[in-house]
Amino acid sequence: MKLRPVSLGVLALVTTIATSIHAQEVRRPYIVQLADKPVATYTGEVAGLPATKPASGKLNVSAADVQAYMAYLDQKQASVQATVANAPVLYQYNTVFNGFAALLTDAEVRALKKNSEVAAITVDEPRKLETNYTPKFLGLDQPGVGLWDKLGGKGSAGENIVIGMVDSGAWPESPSYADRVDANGRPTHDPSGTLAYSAPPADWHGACETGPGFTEAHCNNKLIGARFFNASFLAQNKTPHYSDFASPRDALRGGADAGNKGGHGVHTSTTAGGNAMVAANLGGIPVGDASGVAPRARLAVYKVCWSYLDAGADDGSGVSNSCFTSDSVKAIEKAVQDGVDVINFSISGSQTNVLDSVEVAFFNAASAGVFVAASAGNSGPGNAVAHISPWLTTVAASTHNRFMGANVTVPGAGTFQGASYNQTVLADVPTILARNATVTPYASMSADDQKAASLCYTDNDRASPSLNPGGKITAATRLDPAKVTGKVVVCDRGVTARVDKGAAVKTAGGAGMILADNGAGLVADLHVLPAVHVSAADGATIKNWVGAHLDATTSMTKAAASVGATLAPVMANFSSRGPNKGDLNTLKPDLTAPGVDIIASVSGPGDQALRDAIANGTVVPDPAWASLQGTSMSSPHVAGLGALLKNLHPDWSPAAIKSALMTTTYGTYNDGVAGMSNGQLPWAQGAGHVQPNSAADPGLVYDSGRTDWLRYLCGLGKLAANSATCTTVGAIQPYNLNLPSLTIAEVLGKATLTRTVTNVGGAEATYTASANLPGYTVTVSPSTLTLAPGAQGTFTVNLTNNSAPQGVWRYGSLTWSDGAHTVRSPLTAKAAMISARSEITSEATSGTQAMTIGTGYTGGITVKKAGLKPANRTTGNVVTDASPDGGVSACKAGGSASVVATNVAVPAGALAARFQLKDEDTSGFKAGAIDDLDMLVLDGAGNVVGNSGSATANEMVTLTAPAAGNYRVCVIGYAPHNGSATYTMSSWVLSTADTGGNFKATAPALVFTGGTGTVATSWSGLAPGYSYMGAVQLVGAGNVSSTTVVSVDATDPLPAANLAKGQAPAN
Amino acid sequence: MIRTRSLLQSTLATALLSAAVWAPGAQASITSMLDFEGVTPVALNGGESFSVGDYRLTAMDSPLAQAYGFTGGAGQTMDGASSCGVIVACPSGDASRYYAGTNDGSVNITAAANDLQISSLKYAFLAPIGGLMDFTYGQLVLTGTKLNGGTITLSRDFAGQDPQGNFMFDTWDLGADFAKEHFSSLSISACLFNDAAVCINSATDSPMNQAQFAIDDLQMTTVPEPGTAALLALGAIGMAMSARRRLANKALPQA
Repeated sequence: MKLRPVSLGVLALVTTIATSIHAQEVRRPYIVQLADKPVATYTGEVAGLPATKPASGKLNVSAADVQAYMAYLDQKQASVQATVANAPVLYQYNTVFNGFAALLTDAEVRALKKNSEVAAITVDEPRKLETNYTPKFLGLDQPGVGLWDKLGGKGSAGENIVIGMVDSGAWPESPSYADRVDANGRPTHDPSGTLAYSAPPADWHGACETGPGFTEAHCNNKLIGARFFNASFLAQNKTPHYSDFASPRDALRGGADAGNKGGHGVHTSTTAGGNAMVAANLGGIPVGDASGVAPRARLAVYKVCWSYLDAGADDGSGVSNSCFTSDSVKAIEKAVQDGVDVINFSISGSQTNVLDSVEVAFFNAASAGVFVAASAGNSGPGNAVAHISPWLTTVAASTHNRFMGANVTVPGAGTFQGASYNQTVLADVPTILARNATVTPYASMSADDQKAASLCYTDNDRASPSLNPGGKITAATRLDPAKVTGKVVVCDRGVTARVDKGAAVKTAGGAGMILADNGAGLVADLHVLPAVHVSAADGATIKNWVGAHLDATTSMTKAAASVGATLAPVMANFSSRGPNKGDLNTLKPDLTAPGVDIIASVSGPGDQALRDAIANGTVVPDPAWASLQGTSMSSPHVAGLGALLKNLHPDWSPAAIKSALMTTTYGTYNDGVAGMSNGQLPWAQGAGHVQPNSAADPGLVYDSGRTDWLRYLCGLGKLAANSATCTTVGAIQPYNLNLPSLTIAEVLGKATLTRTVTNVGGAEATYTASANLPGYTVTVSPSTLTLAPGAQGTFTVNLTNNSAPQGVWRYGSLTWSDGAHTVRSPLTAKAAMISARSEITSEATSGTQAMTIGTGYTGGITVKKAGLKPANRTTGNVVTDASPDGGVSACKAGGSASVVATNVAVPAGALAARFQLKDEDTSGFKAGAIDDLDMLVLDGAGNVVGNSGSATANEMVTLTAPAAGNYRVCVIGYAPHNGSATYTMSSWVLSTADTGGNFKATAPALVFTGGTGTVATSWSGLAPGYSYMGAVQLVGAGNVSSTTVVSVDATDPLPAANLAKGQAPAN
Repeated sequence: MIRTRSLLQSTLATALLSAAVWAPGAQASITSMLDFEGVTPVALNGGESFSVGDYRLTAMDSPLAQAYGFTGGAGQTMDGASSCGVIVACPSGDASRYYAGTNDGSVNITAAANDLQISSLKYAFLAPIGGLMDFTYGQLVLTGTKLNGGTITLSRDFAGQDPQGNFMFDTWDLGADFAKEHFSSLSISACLFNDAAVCINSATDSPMNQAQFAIDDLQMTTVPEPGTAALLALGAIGMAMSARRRLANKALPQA
């Protein structure tokens, strides 16, 4: 579907939370050490729990024994914390220290001193705790073995490595960007602080660009570069929203205006390389110290995302924040020129084209030795992984196990733990179900209203076309103050933003909210009233009780951070899944990293007046922090890790860094998602969850570089085989690109994959292979490799199908081990009967084409053909379409002036159909501008069977072997030049009755299991100036068929644009 | 054995040379280069033909397909500049139009005058996929059926790869001995080496569609109208051949 900007609405945090928590009693930070040994030194004293202290080498945190002992410690810690239940727990430790950090009153300290489980209580000063939890979750700070320690500690981790952030800019007031420290060693912008960073690296060529709210003084020896790129944005003729600044400064975030959508770039940059020891708070609630993954890296921001007025914004705010492709490409180019070592790109991207312009820019960046991390996208659990090119590292998102939670007790139903930042204790508050608290009684509502009654819509939510299509949900569902005032309301998660539901309850006078999950997973939010987000199962229990008891009450505790209460990592539901839709033979995403509930700096809130004061320099705004989730948040973790590995191994290529990160991963826990989207499959987690301390010393790497990637593109057909590049470098099969993952989409009985490993260890080592793949016999040849340091070894992985069914993916792994290193790659394969290209193209009026097919059986094969047939050309006019669903409902309804419908009959036995628009066939293009038209194809039942939504009018939908029926093709005026466009559409419906151009197709007489064959097509005598189509269908054993479209465009066509629409930060 | 045959072939060549000199019809023979440039692009199933000048080329199914009664694609013309979009392993060194024998098939060449000679050709291995190691995977095989019956077979390894990993076209001068032979038909096919280094393409030993070749620029000679003089010449050739056969039989025990 259309690339609508991703909504930031669900993440909008409300800052008007009560901040009176410090008023009652003074709390001070303490560290409470408990009696049991931590994991790293535990030697098996507790009955039933084996030792976890590693005999030698590193602690394997994912080992079952370690996990079991951690669970035991967590339980003990919870029982101690329960005796001081009101104390905010900042952090919990179990690996090298057993205990927790908490803000305690004097009375609580005294109580704990008497507890036999407590070994010691010490004042937390100076604070060394890294409470932005993810560096700890990643193990970066583990003494001795952590990657930070290997680089001299967090005071030097990432030293002199420059991370370039192509995003929405910086909020320079954040201490995460400071280059000075105060007397306690904490980052500060105070000019009296001690300079903690030397001048930028000598080879740094960046600049500090200025503009409203951003001067050269905002750059320093930490934030060493700041540029902004808005040429493409300005060219869109959008009206900028006041919250933004035409400078490297990120837009305002939050406050009273839902259009304040900045902060993304601040969050991602400080996650990747923000300073350590930055005391963070969320809406005034201290949440401990935050640190970037590479805290000593230098940062350079390249702002490409802009806020502007957009009536169609999904969240109804009227404002979108988007990043336009050519701005991004320029920014990437500039970043490479400036001399960055790492680029992070937390912006969505092409799901089908490895040569999308941004991917090409990254090709060059990676060729220049820049490690690139990019977000996989937030369209999960659907198959929508973006950034599919092999030269960058595509990052999925998963959970970590710091849990901000509170307990909610409903006497009679039980006590439940849920996600929460609640800071106000509730005791025995009357409680009601949302569906029983509406202005119109539930039983009297329409069916649509009944469905929405428990979802707690705000008035704004009901007014939003995207949240309430057709306005079917009425004010009958509004919460009734007469029923709600002073009560806790139980709302269901879904459709509207979680924080909106809290706002709806508060507006109606509610005292609190219990938010029942819908299976998507718990998230702690800053709500405007006391609220706890409980699981779907707990929610059902609560709802059953409350629904049956008019006198039900709720008590709620304050939130506290805890660790390990939930299994982590688990793949985030929103993380986009593979397979790679541009090339089934390379795995995407590559790996996963923390991307749920990530705390980092953001822009501050404000209004127009504050914005103007910041812009003209009369006000210095405060720093701010937020907890966000998304693959936008996981990608900068990997960018930071890339910086650390580059720091540790300056000679490693981007591919080597990626390999080290991938081959040392561990698997995530089951997320319960069904089918191919399950979190434990490589489509979701890639190779697995990063384990950076192992990545520092991976043993072997799968390296690749520019020449390998070009060969891959030639083999993939993205570069023409007879192009100068391909005749110079040659071609490889895509599955033979030297990636640390092995993926083959069509095993035709048997297959051989080739890889080369490089020993990056310090000594000669002998590695032995082991491999498995259910349904296949797998052999590795040679099965042992003895490699000197720096030496390379090439091997093949040979698959023979012994029982794998056709067309079904199977999942296994390949592991090389020398006893000290384990180098693991996912091995993923699908069996096939016939493998053939989907399309053959030519521009010649006569010619032949030879196409190699692969076959997975032995026997005969038959060939059917249709065409060649010139396009049926129809002319139409379309005006701008503003429908919120991209024209789907209008198309179903038969079309309109802005969704122009054409009915097309497809006969039985049709081999293919294609519908195509081209820029040169539109009035806007002819006038020297661009018409942005889109296309939608419905089958006879009204189902969407194809759509095409590029940023221009180059649109195409192809159906192979379509069922007979009356189809409807709709041309949608997404943004025609001057509001209206005349276009000519080409369409072809191809059946075996269609002949022309002496078109002929031949297939091999016999084909063989695991074999190949040549399918030839020939044609002659076509008339120049027409665009022809044909189709070849191969039918093999078991009636398995494969269709190849033959496109002969004899119009001497122009090179086609292939632009995706404006892209939003994929947070 | 090989040396013996060489001697025999020298003898034979002398006889043929004499025959050519004797035969007035040979003066009327036409030598031309069969380069496919004027051919309408075509894909062929086994048994289908096209003509180039005085010559007719018929694609033939693989020996295995013929043995089991299957028919399918066995050849096509190719344009070095445009036919290779989906075979990533088109050979290098010929950007013009050439003929490709595919799927273990062969091409059978005849002349209108039922008399043809061949002295050289360009040829290459047509690999099914790119990225193969640089290795000699097989041979081109020429089998001529002589005017009086009987066949001669000549085979030669395919060229390896250029520095870019593409299999190269190579020019094969067939040698005076072969060039002087008059054939009623000429069959060109490919074979692939098996693990025992035997080059295979038969009904019992199939290379499974991967014995594929490209040919171009065949230096061919034919006689437009066979006449008395030509028949005389044929008679001379027939005598020479029976002499060769006798000598060959005699030589065998010495090997």
